[in-house]
Order: sequence, then C-alpha cells, then structure tokens
Amino acid sequence: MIKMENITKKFNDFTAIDNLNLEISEGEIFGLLGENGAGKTTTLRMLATMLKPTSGKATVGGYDTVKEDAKVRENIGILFGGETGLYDRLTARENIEYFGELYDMSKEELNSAIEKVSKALSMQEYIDKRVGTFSKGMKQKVAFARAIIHNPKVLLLDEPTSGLDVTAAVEVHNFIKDCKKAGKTIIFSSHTMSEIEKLCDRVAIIHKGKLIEVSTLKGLKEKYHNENLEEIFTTLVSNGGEE
Amino acid sequence: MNFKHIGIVFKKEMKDAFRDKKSVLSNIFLPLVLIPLIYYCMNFFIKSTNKEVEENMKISIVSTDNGVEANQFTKENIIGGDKIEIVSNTYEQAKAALKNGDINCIITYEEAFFANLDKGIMSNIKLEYNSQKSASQIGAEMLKSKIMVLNQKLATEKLAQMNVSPEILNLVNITGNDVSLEDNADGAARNDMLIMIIPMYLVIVIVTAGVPIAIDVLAGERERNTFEALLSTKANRLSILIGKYMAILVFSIIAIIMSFIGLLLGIVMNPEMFSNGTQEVTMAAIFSTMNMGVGPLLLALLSAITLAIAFAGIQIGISTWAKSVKEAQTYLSYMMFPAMILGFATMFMGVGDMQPFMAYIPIFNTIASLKMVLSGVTNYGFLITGVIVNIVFVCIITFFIIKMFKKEKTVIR
Repeated sequence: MIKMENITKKFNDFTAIDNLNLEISEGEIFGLLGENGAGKTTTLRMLATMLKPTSGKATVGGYDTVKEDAKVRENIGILFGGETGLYDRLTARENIEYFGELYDMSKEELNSAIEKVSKALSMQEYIDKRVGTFSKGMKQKVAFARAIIHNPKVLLLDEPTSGLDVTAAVEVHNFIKDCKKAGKTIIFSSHTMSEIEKLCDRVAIIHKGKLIEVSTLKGLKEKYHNENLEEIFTTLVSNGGEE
Repeated sequence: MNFKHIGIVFKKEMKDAFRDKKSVLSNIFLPLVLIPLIYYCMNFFIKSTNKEVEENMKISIVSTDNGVEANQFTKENIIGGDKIEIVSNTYEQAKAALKNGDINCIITYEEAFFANLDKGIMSNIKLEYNSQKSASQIGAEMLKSKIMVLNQKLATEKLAQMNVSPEILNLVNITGNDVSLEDNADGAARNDMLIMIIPMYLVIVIVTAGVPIAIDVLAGERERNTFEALLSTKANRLSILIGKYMAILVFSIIAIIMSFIGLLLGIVMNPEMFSNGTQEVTMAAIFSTMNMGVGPLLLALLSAITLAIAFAGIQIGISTWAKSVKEAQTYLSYMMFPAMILGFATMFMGVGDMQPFMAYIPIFNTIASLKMVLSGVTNYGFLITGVIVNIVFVCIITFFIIKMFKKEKTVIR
C-alpha cells in the first residue's frame, strides 16, 4: 500500500531524512518511533504530499506522491498532532462537510457519511453546534470524523495523542483499532512505547533521519533478547543504530 | 486549478469571516456608524460653541479715560442688539477671568481714544483673547468684524461731514475669477473639502480593509493547526490560494463600500462641516459641482478596484509568510504607512498640482485619479496609465504569491 524507496529530504544543508526505504502492507498499523526531530513528521508530510522528497520515490496506493499528488491526497486522511485543528466558528457538521466537499463528495454521499460517522462516534447531540464551545474530547471526535469522511485507504497519524489526557488518548487508540478493523492502512508516529506496543503490527525506529530498525514487535524483542521496548529503543538510539 | 474547489474555499472563508463578530463589527458596522458619529460630534461641538458665544458672551472693557463713556460707546456702537454682557473688572481681574475662560475678550480703549476719534485721528482698540479657549477665539472674531463695521461707519460719517464721498475709501476694487470653474455646471464652486478628504480616506480604507480576514485565513489557519489538513485534501494549492484571495478581496470590497457609505452619511448628515460657503451641501449639490464624466469615473473606480486587488494580494502574501497570527498582525499593521504617507502628502494638492509621474506609482495614481474625477477634470492619458500600472502591479504581486504558496519553506513552517 505504501512504498518508500531511497527517500531523502534536505532542508538547505540539513538532512532531515536520509535514504529511507520502507514498505507497508494494506491493513497494517505501522508505527514510526523516534525522538523529537528524528524525521517522523517530515516522513508523514512527504507521504501527505505537503513536502517533496529531495531524492527517491514514494508511492501511496500505487500513486506517486510527486507526480500524482492529487490521487495520493484522495486516498489519505491525516490527523497531525494532539491539538485538533478545527474551525471554531463552524459547526461540527460544517467542519466535516468542508473537507468532504474538497474531496469531491456529492451532497448525498456527504450527508450519508456524516450520518454514519456521527452515529459511530456518538456525535449526534452536538453535530450541529459550533465547535468553539466543545470540550477537547468532542473536538477530537470531530477531527477523527473529518479525517475519515472520504473513506481513505490510508491514515497518517502524527503523534495524535500528544498533549491529550488518558481518556482522550484511549479514544484515539480505539479509533485507530476501529480503522484497522475497517481495513485501513495506518501509519502512526509516536514516541510513547506503550502506545506503539498496544497498537502496532510493525514498527520502524528512526534516528536523525535514518532508519535504524524495522521489524514486528515480537521480532524486535527476539532480536535484541529484551522484552522491554523502551530499553531496546534507547540502546539503539544511543548507539546511533549500531547493535 | 479547480473552480469547484475555489468556490468551496471561498464560501467557507466568507461564512467563517461573517461569523467572526469582532471582525464584522470593527470592519463592516463600525465605519458605518463611527464616521457619521465623529462628524456629528465635531459639528455638534462647533455649533454648540458658536451658540454659547452668541447667547452667553461676556467681555470686560478697560479705558484709562472714562469707564462709563467706554461702556456706553461699546454698547451703542459695537454690541448693538447682540447678547453680550459687560463684566466690570479691573484690568488684572479681567485678564485672570480671560485666562480662566470666565469672559471671552477684553476690549481696551487707548488713552484719549474718544478725543482722537472726535478729531478724526486714528485711535487704537486692543482686543485681547485666549486662543486656548475656542469660545474666546470665536468671540474675538465676532468682535473684530463688528469693530471693522464700526470703523467703516465712523469713517463714512467723518467723510460725509467733510463733504467727501465715502467711495474714496474703496478706490480700487478687486473681483476674482477662478478659470478652473468655468467648465463646471452653472460655474458652481467645487467642494475642495471633499476633494481633499474622499481620495485620502478611500485609499487608506482600500489598503487596510482586508487585513483582519487576511490574518485569519492564512496565519490563523496555520496557528489553528488546520492548514496541513487543508493541504492534504484533494484541492490543489492554487485553488486554495485563489479561494482565499477572493474571500479577502470580497470582504475588503464590502468593508470599503461600508466605509464609503459611512463617509457619505457623515457628509450628508453634517452639511455645515463640508460647506464651501457658497453651495448647499446635499448629495445633489455635491454631484452637480463635481461635473464627473462617466468614462473618467469608471476609470477612477477601476484604479481603486485594481489597487484593492493588489493590496489583498500583499495581505495574503504577508499572512502566508508570517509564522504566527501575532507576526502577521505586526507586519500587516505597517501597511497603513504607505497609504497614510502618500495620502497626507497629496491631501492639500489641488488637481492641477498632480504630476504625470504620479500615474506610474500605485496609491499615488489612485488618489490623483479620484481627485481628478471629483474635480470634474478629464485626463484620459493619466487615468488609463494609472489603471494599466495598477494591473501590472496586481500581476507582479499575484506572480509572487503563487510562487510563495508553492514554496514548501513558506507554506510548511
């Protein structure tokens, strides 16, 4: 579903991503693990077509992120950061509708999708109220609905639980699990090991823009003879990827 | 570019902007109410001060010869039937009262004033007033004109006693003719006050009207964390940019129209403020003296519209470049300066003072075009050049903002 071949991204002289190769299968929850500034967000931004790779090639659902960027965007939904970006003066429905319309959904498709998603996320009570008055949890649900309204095949989630309390974070985890059940491919970046362990099928560890490990969680633990993912991560990062 | 996406972005931005009560209040309704209110307050203050002077003027009279005679002379020859109270004071007390605003003026008759007057020798009256008190200043002007009338009357009487015609006082008479008014309908005088105010005011509004929405649709979008989600939709960047650009422009035009209506209401509701002395200030009287041709009027409006498009572009560029709403607010507040500098620089310029080079400078050309049209002057060369220059200006700005919007470094921060 997602393929990255020798992807490099430079900002002037700074190499944010260095020759990254990854392949993610359909229906997989794939964790991107790394410290702050490791390159997780840059990777996700390149997959979301916001940034162009300096070299290399990435495809999402078989579409090239540079040459077929509109097709790629049609197939992805994003949720970047724990702070859910919504338009406070619009209602929850108008927020979701705006994005649905920009994905070229018809009025009928949109109404039926909003109906379905608001039921699934228990948002019926406040779907027609302005977002500005919502609690963080309510906003989070609207942001989920906005990300999946066009039924994307791929979800890109960049530290979606950062800054959230435990209840809101659990909501995010449940949302991710539900999306997996619906057959979506999910890339999930985090620096919280417990989250990665709870949700991901496979994980990639990135350090200073370089891929230093990619494996299933079980494979990682077996390879490093350690049950503690946090310890494996810190060892790998402190060794700069050297075993 | 996708017109459907442009329409969706535009519709959403307009809906969002009109739900922002603060922005609607300060940009749409406030100019409509505030400008008439400012002019009303100014007019009210001027009128009430004049009324106060007319109904409650107090003066003190100082004379070294004969106080009673001086008072009598003043009452009969200067005050006449007007409501002016004479307050008895020593000179020191009168001066203190003048400084406090208790009296409006002091009239001092010089030594031997009345004797000199009888002999036909020039006699001095000293008129003291306090320029920090408007009632004193207005009162002094009133007394000055009354004393001039008295002077004329006394001189005429003296000449009559000597069997000399009073015309000797006016051997040379001046009549003026403003050739620039010869083409005006009925030769009516222009309203220079309006020619001075309207272009400057309009240009300042054009340059700044879109600022609040420009901040919200780009820097605000980034700060709210909605920008990346928006960029990840099927809509391409150019469609998003044009949708937002159009929203800023339409909001600006609405704000400009409302401000202009506010200004017109201010003028029509307070005609005394704008009267040039000879004309009645009503909309009909204003239009009749402006003598505006349809062609020049359309060109001047086109110049104003193209300037508004250019500045909406500059606002969108600055808001895209700014890292935060605060930064955008700071940079966009500077936009007021070029409009104010060029506006005030040309405020007192007559239409004949406009130089051809001004047509090549945006803002300058719009002010000059508006002044020309309001003065009833037709200069197609200048007007067309101004519009072409503004269109080129719009193209340059649009080219730069499209380039800017495609740059990762500017858009993703």
